[in-house]
Amino acid sequence: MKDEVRVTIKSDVDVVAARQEGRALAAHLGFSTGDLALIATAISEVARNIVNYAKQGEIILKVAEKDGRYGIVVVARDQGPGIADVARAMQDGHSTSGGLGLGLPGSKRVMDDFDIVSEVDKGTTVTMKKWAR
Amino acid sequence: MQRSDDRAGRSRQRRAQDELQASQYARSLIEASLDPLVTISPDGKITDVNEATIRVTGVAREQLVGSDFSNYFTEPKKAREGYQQVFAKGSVTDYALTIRHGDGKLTDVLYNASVYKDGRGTVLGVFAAARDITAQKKAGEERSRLAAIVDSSADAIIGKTLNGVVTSWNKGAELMFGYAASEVIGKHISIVIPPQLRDEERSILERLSQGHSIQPYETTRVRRDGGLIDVSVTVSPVRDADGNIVGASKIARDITAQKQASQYARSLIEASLDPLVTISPDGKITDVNEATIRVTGVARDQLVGSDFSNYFTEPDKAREGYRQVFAQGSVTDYPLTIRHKDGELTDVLYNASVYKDVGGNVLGVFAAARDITDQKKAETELQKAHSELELRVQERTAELATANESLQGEIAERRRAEQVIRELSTPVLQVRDGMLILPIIGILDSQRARQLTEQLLRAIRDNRARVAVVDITGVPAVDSKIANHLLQTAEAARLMGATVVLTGLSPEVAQALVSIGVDLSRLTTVGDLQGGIADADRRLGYKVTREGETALGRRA
Amino acid sequence: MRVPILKQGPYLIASVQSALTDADLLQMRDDLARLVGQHRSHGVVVDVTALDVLDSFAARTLRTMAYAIRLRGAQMVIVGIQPEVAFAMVQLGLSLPGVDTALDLEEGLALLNRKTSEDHASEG
Repeated sequence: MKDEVRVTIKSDVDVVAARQEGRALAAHLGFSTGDLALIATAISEVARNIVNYAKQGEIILKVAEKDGRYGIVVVARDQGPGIADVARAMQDGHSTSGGLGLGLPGSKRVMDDFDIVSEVDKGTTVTMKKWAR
Repeated sequence: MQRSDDRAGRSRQRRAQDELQASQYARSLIEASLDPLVTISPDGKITDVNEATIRVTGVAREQLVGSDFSNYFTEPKKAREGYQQVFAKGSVTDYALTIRHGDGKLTDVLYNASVYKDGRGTVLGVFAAARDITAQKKAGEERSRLAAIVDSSADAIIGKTLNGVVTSWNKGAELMFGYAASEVIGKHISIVIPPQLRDEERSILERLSQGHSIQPYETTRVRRDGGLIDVSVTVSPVRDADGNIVGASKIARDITAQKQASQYARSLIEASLDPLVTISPDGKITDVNEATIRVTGVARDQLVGSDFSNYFTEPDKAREGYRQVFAQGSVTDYPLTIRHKDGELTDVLYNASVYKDVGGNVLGVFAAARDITDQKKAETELQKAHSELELRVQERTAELATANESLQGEIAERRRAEQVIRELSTPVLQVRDGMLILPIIGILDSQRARQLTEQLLRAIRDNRARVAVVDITGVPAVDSKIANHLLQTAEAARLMGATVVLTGLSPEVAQALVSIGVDLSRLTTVGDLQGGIADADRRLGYKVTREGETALGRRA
Repeated sequence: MRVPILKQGPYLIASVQSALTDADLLQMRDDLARLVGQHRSHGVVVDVTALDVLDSFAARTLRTMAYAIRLRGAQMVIVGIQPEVAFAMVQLGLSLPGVDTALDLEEGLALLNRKTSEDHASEG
């Protein structure tokens, strides 16, 4: 298994590819089936954000290791319009594309680490991490 | 004249010498003092210092002398007020100040100071002696910290003399026994000890006073209201400064809930139809349930202490089995044949795993046997069915396929039931078609709660259950975190098409959860397990009695 | 891949395959709306047994689909949401309020029978 998997995100087909790659990597790291569903769903959310707001970007999947424990790192990166008010975007129920607005805050809830950096007109990078139990 | 002059000169000389000696003596005493000493002029300048002052300030003698006294304190204004008071009143005692060392280190001191005068009574300056109280202050803080710990402990912490007279009684003790500290201090500890256990207390205090250490033990205590509680007790000696044992400190923890949960677990174990045993590392049986007694025909007191391998047609294989468990941690589906004392044989599959104490030390093996006599029969029948299928394949294809299916179903059913025994800690029981029961026992931490949810949801799918009754009577504490987890579980079950009925939530706990914002309206709750099963029956019955389920469902 | 839709008596059955894209999902929504009208179906079963992810977009689309089908006079039931998927959904805060669910196809059809027997004479 490679240490890093990159998936270019241009359309909804790539969203499916990204979550399948993520699930495969997480399964290889020994995550429970329950966690696999969580990780795949969170990847789906951040990848769809790229399609909806930035049109194009990429998902990078990496392995993390600390004190003999393994984890998965998911980075979602785009050079899109950016998010003007990150704090508001992270509130449950907020959405600018008519969605349920649960994608990002929901992903944050189910991952162990969640970090979002966004600059208007420069793009957005979401980094999230989950450790195998 | 000359003589007398000589005499006068000699005596002057002697006096001067005496004075010099006396002042040198005083000087060495001053220098030797561990307390920082200074003299201060009326305008607040330091006129003399000792070594201790140099140490505590980190400033050289020649720099100290002539500088402002107030310079060397965290609160210069307060220092100034201090020596001004001395000049005004003649002395001050225990005036608190903090000296700041050149490198920033702080020293808490108490000053005692008085004015000193010349022979005519003119005030020359102030003599000030500081006493370092940093260590004292720390000790005081440590004492109050310990007192706070004792006070905030949920455990009862009780101090008593070797005669059993109570000397201290914390809040935990007040809550546990219902007596206020003021009511029991000075009284004998026997007020919380049931009469039949007073000898136990006496012998423990006796052994403690002889210097024996006391292992933690479980016993029963009586509350002010007469109610009995199960407690786990740790006793340690209290010694005076010389190391003599002068009393006992006792920490008692209420384990009533724990005991009830373990009794509940015990009754489930006894109720199990599968023979269950625990085995010590040397292969002796340490505990059995009713089913084991039935299948061997041997009484409980004879089973306990005897060799586990005695009761099988192949003792060597049985021995090999439990050794594997100790070596590998567990075995699954280990086939053995139990011999009843009347000669009747029972084929079983053993699932066994080691169990450990809280420190992780292996205490023994827990082994559960599943009677597979019927399963074996079913498998034979299945094989027979298969061969018949081959013989009369053309004419009876349809019928045999059905028979085959139901046999497969039966075997799958049995496998699922076997899963139950593997998960004895949180069994998922199918009591009727479409209904599951989950009796949860013990403390639910978040990891166990998660495991439980995953197990329940999978069981709903595997058993095609439409109602799951989750009984939390055996859970000692239900907080908002667990309640929210149960809510999530119920919602996830609904997404799968099943209803969760929660039982065993006491009205008080429910009220408390609602008041802190847990939305219990999204959860179906019924008082007790019996009511929950009745409710589940109604739900299933309602659906079953309506026409339609068979109209299309089975044929589709 | 387009979701295959089968006609089973008065009902339509849509069997979703694993790699369902957003476009496939929207296509299924439009196909079902059209076919319910065309066959005058009484109910729709959407079988998601094969899905290993139901994210916020899928949850929202299934909800609006259920409402749209109800507006056309039919009932919709979602069947086969897997345990891991269901638990992941609630942890992410996704749910399907007001949408009927059942364990599998058989239970789903039984549920439709019960629901539609009130409105329609038995036509099964």
